[in-house]
Amino acid sequence: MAGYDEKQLDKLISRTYKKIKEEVEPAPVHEIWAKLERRLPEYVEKETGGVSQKLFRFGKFSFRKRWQFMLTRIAAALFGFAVLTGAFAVVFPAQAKNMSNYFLNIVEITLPDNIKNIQMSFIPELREDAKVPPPPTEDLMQEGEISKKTAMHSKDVDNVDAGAGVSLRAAPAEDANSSEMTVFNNDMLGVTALEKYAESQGTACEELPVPEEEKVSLQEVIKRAPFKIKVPGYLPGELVLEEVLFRSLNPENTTAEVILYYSSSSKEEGSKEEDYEFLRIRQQNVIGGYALSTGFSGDGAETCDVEINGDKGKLISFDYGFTTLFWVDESNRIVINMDGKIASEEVLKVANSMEPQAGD
Amino acid sequence: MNVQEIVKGLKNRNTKALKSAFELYYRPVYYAAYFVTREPAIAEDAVQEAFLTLWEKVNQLEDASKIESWLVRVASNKARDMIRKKAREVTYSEIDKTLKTNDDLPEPLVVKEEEEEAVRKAIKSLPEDMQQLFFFRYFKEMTMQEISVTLGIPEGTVKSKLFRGREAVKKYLERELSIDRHKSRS
Repeated sequence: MAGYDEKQLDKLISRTYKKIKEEVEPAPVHEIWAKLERRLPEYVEKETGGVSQKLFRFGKFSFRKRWQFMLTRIAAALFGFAVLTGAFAVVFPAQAKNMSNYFLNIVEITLPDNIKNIQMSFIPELREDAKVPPPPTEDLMQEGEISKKTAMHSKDVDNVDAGAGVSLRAAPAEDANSSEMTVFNNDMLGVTALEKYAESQGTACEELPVPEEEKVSLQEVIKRAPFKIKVPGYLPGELVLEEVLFRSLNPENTTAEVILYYSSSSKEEGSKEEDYEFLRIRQQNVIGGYALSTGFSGDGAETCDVEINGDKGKLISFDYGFTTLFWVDESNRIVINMDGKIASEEVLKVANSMEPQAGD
Repeated sequence: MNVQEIVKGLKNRNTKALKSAFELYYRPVYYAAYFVTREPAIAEDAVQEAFLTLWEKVNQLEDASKIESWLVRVASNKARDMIRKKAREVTYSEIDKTLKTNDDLPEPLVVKEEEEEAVRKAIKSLPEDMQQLFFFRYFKEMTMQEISVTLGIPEGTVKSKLFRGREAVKKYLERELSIDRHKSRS
């Protein structure tokens, strides 16, 4: 049969829609509003337990409980710090090149007032000859843009969303080589480190925007991530994959962050908040070094050393059902952080079931 | 109340803001839901669910100007969920068969009806984002630029997706209509 040309097809589709439009006559607005209005008080009460409640917003997520909100912020800040430290290797890439063996160290410290601090580092062993500031690596020789020095100060931490950040690029004036790091939130440590490095090289700093997280499909992130991302083979209860976020941490896309967000469908159906579970899995590949420091109140929190498929990790269980787990897949140099409102046993099961996904 | 004030009011849990939003967007949201379900009762329920979701998740709405497209998307999804839950997959062809038969229609009209029915099926088989673009383009008769602004995506993307959508519809039509005609001949 004869095919349709563009105009014919356009006309046909328009005609079909027009016909549908003619068929539709919505009920009067006040009738439907009256129905909705009758449901509204009951709905709000069901959602908030009878108390009008403000939602706590954090990036793309919103929480009804302050503790969920706070813990998520802490987790995000920790991850931001981890990213910052991990990016250290990008600032000093040659130093990273001079380092070969990685070692993982996890230390737990109890401070006054039962404040606990867990420090984890996954860093290359420094060689004696690696003390001298290194020459830039060849793979960054292509970069050469020099621009004015910019000062970076995020003065108000509360106004910085998770994942908000900037990237700095230091470009030596003479040889037009450059290196790059990402600074999250107001971590002045990273800024200072880069600025010092830049000064020692007689160069300038350029502020670059860190790409926004992109909402992508699982298949897409598997293809785009510069490492084999891990996906759980086991998920407890009603958890389903709700969102996948991807953020490349440098223009070369040699290091990236992937977030898989799972939640139970009960949230959608307006059931009790207690029934609602969620789990966030963040993973990032490590090029140079990586360090993480996390502080929290030890009251109502239990920490324990765990092993995830032979790799060391730390599990923190809070008595209100929130669990945080972080570990390093040493062979693949992937730092993984899980947190969520989910039982610790289940988090461990999920962690142990994670399998790397082939990119092709 | 303008859009910004509505969203601000919703964030402050003001039911008057919800009513304003409802009055402003009821019709387009209803059309979106109806287009999926083709059943007025389900479409009405989906509309209510969409506005209740807006009430619940308004803090996730980052750009107030996208409230309409957000509501349209939510209503479409809710409508789809409702159909699935009721385990009665409503197809356009089924509904249309209940509305009318082609027996008494003259030949050219029958062809026209067949084509339109095939277009409906073809559109329904498109990915959801394309269906949404078709809805804005052909149902709301928006320009590419208006769609681009409403959905916050580049105009080029709108154009290319619509093009690909039309290509898919075209292939579907050519395949289905040739099968139908082959059947009617044999």
